[in-house]
Amino acid sequence: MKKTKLIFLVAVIIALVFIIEIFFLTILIPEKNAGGANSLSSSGITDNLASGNYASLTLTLVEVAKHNSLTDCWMIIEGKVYDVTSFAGSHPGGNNELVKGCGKDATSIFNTMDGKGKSHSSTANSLLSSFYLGDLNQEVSVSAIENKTAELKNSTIPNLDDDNDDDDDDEDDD
Amino acid sequence: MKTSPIKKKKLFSEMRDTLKNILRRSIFLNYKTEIINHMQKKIISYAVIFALAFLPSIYLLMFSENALVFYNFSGAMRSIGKIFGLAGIVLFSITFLLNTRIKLVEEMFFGLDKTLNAHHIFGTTAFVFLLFHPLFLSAQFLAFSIKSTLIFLIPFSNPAVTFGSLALLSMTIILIITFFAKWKYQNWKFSHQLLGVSFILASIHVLLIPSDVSNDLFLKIYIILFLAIGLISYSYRTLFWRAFVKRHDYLVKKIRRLGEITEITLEPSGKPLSFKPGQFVFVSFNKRKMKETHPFTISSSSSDKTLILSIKNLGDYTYELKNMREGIKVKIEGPYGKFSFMNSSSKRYIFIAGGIGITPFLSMLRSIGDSPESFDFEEIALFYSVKKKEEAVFLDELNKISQKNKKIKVFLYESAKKGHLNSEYILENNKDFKKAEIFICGPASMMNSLKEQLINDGVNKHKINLEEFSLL
Repeated sequence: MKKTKLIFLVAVIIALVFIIEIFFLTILIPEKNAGGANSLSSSGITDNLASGNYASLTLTLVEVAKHNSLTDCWMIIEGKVYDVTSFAGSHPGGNNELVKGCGKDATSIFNTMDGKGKSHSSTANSLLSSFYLGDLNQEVSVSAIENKTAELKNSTIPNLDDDNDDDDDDEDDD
Repeated sequence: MKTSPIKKKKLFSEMRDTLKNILRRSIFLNYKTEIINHMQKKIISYAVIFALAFLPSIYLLMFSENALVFYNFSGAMRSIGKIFGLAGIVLFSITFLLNTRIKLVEEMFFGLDKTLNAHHIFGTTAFVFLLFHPLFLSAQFLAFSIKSTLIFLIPFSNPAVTFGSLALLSMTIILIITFFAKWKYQNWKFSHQLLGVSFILASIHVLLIPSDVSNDLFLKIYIILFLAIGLISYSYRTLFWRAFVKRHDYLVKKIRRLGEITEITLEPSGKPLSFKPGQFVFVSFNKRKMKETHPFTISSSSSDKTLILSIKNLGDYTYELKNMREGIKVKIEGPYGKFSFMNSSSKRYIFIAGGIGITPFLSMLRSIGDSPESFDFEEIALFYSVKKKEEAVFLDELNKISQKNKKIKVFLYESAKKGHLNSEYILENNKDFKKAEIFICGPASMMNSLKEQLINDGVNKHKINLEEFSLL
């Protein structure tokens, strides 16, 4: 077979395999970060009460404001609270834009891309739900939050250049 | 956070400078031996085109903080996706340029056949890049959510993405037909030409989608320039070629049947075409079933005003030659091809012809016969290989030319009696073969086999020229 024909065929096959794989993985793997009011609040509290863990907190504006930097970034978007810390470095628009929403109600920043009049894509919205902690002013159990944030931190594939940039990140953002 | 990219920049430019120095030195050395002509031209052309394709990415690496990042998985995936998109559309555009058959482009690769090879290579590369462009962009979300990865791939989520998806989808289908469908030539060709529509769809995608290109003036101008080049090339060669492509008008003057071969003599109606012996033209006869354009080698002398085409009856198209009549109008485009001893500074030549492959050498010998003082050479040895002597319909004429010119020797070789022509036979009749420039024209298998044998026998591969008849 001519070289170009072979390369074409191989490329198309690889692409098909990729797409089909993604399709099936989506169906087969239950979305861990599906979000929804239930996952962290009521059942979380019941479980934790059962295991003797009584600490709870309310996701107020004040509470969210404590997490206002790139290395610890919570934000409120349309009445829901998200921990997007692990998304730092992966935000297509860059960290400078991401950090604008840390620690506050970032609804309009998110919906207009900070005044540019553009909204985030459906992919972005779907991605956002994977960072969900709970609804605004909802009471959640502390350990559930701790579990969730730890899970998010670990779910990202480790940085390729771990030594160089993350440490520098800390210095710059002070 | 900024130290790593700066180190990378320094390393890059150091590597670049070292490479440039090596290249300069080697080109200089080769220039002395005159090999710079074909090989180097071709390599430089390929290099320049790839450089143009990756220039936007290098620009982003050097001047943009955020555009291309490789320090984490999602950044790397996103960046690779962007690079593929940028390089892909530039290569796609250049692929159209390589198909225009304009002289400048033919010069870049030293021969139309090699230019078309480049068209195939860059076309396939462009497709692969453009195919992987959305896949890598979607892969950036794998770190967080498989579902988001899939959602990104939804083809028609917004207008800009829709155009991109349609472009890619149409390209894939059309190329499957191009590579695998066994259709009639005209239908196959038409389907391939629809790639222009894919290009237009891709262009709209590039213009609509918010991206590094839309945010940067230099990139915008750069990419729009290539979109224009692609569109103009497509319009010139495919859409409006009847209006734009310059063609010479000729009339069929005489038809001669020589066994399996039909020789057609054409007379110019307007300005005659000037050419070098060994070149070919694209011909279209104003006759039913022969209107499609076909390439043919000119077999007449370059000092004649008339053109002679010597055509072997092979398939559907040439079958119609039996109905060829005098007075039929002909349109001719060209000349093309670098298969001519006039492009060489050598003084000794070995010509090897297999069957109808004699045509370019017919032109060369007839030209020398007509005006010997115009051509400067020491010796030509022509090997005319046919299955049986009866097939060598031009032998008498060639022998006459050889008798009149002591510097030309003609050898008939009958493969039915002696087996396939091999390098041994050629070299035993030529003592000084290592200094000679060798031209071979005939069936592909014969040409490739002979070339290999000659190289094994010590001939420099740069001194062997093959005429690639099949342009598909």
